[in-house]
Amino acid sequence: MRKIVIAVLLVSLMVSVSHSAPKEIVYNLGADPRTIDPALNNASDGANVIVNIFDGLLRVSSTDAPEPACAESWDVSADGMTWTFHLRDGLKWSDGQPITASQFRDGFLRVLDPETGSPYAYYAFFIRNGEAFYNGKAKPEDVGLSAPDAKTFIIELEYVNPLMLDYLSFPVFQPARNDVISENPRSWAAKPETLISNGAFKLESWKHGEGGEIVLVKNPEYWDAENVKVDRLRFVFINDENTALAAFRAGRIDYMGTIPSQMVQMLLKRGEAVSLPALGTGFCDFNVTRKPFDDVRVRRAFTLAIDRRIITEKITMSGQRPAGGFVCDLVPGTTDSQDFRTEGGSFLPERADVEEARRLLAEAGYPNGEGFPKVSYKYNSNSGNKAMAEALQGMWKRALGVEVELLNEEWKVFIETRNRKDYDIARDAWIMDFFDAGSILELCITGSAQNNTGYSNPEFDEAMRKSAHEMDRVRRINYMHDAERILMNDLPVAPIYFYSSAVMQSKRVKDIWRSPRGFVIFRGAEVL
Amino acid sequence: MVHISRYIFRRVISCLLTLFIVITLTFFMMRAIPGGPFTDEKAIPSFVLEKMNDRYGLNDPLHVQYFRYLLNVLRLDLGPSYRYEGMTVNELIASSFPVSFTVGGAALVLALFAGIPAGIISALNRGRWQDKIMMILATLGVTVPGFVIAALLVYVFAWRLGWVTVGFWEGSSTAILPAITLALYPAAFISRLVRSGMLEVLGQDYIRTAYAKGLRDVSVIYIHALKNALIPVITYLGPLTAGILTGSFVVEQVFGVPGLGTFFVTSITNRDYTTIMGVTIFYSALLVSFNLIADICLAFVDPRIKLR
Repeated sequence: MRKIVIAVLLVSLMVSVSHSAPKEIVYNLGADPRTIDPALNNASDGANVIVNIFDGLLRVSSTDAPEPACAESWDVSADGMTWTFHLRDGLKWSDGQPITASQFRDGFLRVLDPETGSPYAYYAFFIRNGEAFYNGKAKPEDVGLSAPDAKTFIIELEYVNPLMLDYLSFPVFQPARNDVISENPRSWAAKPETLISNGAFKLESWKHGEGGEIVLVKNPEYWDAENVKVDRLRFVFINDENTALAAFRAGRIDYMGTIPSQMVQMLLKRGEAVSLPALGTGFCDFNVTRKPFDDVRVRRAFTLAIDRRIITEKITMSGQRPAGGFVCDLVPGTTDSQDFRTEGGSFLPERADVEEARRLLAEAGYPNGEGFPKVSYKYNSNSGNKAMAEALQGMWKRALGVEVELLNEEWKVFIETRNRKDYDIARDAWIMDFFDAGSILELCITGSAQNNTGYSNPEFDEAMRKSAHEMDRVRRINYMHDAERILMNDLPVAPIYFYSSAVMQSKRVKDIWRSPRGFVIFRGAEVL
Repeated sequence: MVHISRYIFRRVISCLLTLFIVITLTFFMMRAIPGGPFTDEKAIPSFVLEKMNDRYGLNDPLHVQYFRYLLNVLRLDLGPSYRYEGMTVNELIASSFPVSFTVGGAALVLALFAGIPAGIISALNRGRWQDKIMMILATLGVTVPGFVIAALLVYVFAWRLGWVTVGFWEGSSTAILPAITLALYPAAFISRLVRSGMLEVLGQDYIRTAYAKGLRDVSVIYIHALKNALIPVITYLGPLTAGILTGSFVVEQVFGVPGLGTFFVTSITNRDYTTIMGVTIFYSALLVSFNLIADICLAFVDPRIKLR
């Protein structure tokens, strides 16, 4: 009897599977993207849509390394300055039209065209005459991009770029349909009728704002469509974390990273959420352009007074690791056997070194904090940052006897304040675009747009410059180790913790790839 | 009749003047806030930012931008959104206002249908238990903030009972909880207005006269007393309608309602200049119109009010 019941159940299960509704995954993107135009986007929410609907010469693989996509193979000239990409046979856009090499040229030129106003335009400056064209000093024909035939795409370089293949798999470098874009240069990517793409999925609809959603459907024209196992993706925009959690619990969301911060720890403990490492560092900026943080001893004293273990265990509490350096773990080292962080070792102790901190502060002329000027710590208003600020304030007070005032500002006001260097100590954080130490070290290069501290050390700049044009992996990464050593000696920044992100995933889905860079890729995902 | 049309004409002119002042103040105040639409954690190199600002005309002198904006508003063109590439502010309002209108309209009806009877019952049972219960509820409704009520409703109906899912907009069934949340404050407020209005009116001579003429309770209360007791409610309905129909940030966030209310806050945090202007103008226009309508209604209800 039991056997019969089981058999009936199994059969009915098989029937229900074969006749099941379209396989759909709901992902809470959290925010409505500003744009999903590959050339105009520079936000992570937009990138998460682009990586799922577009396919460049290379694409981001499940291990985050670039892998061949539209380009099947490529050759490099002896001097490394000319790269010839061979496109796959039979590549098609989502509307069925063939993809040609010249459309890659169009897409790359669009990024460089000053008329486009691409925030990532400078990522394409490794292409010959790219910068000149961007600044109106060269014509499009002078740019080192050419398509001698429909299947061959050639890139000539301005300078060698060790990360070129990583760049080419980055969401900004995609082919473009100029026939569609020229009619609606700003809005073609906002509407499904004009957003023609070439990736695993294509846009079906987009409803803006809170409660809205982006619906993607499988693109049958995709060259790798046979390995795409999901029919529909719904990217919803539920900004309120408690609401998102309620919807997840109700079975309406399959995957999300928007978890109420006060519940993360409990959900992790219960196994309902998992913590994944992320490619980022949380740190403090010291304003090195004015007293008292122009003195490296003061900076070191403040850095050593921070107990990083307490911060990760009691404040951030969702799998962050105490930062022993500026470059976070997971970043490649000189060989595949060890990451950059392990190779470079720890520059900073996990626990506070109160004695050394006090000694340094006294040496700088402020024994027990006496005579120390009034300083403040600025952060952008949110509860997590506030808790962190209060913890730091307490640590500085206890270890150094220094009173640090806490000031918070609205997000964009804060960014401007920090960039203008109108602060003593400021909260900062960075998520890296590439699996490369340079991706975060470059923040401290003299004059970089992101150099919030005013730090400038020619030795550091030189090490970074050498690494940027060095094709030999060992040498290049060693230059970056040099750079980090100099930086951790000068300490314009006080690294605190390495990022992680907590995500929740329903049991009915598997193989959603979440890259430590933040990309969420559904190409290989399955509904069980 | 001549009176009324002249009155309306004059009021419309003053409404337009009000709108002009609102536009001007908002425009310059908004541009005085530090940060811009492209300010982001990942700083865009200044030479790139320059070109992006160029594309949107943000590098022009402020007064040039201001007059250009005014001209566009006269053509009812609220401009492109800086936050949603490829969308115009007109499109954003057109897609989100109907949702807010549904939720807000339902809330308004709820508020009136709960508030007015509650006020009448209180007034007629002044000092008795009915009055006390109504006034406790009204005090709660006025004092407990919307986000607390919203969170409670989510906890009870979505978490505990599982009757509704929040975060997804699926038409009118998902409008119920947000409408209740939005309705509580005005319902409570209206009930207090009606109660005090009724109490005042019921003590007046003409009511005594009506009773003395032998009119029945029902007609005295509902025709003579209520009509006058509702005058403050009508005055309150002008701004209330404009406010409730344009949505609420908190309620929309908590319940995931794709309404207009969210844009009032997010447009500012995003420095989405055109959207800040657009929703402000839209709300102001509704506000002055509903105030005008309320004033005209008052003139019909209350013979003591003359439209001049």
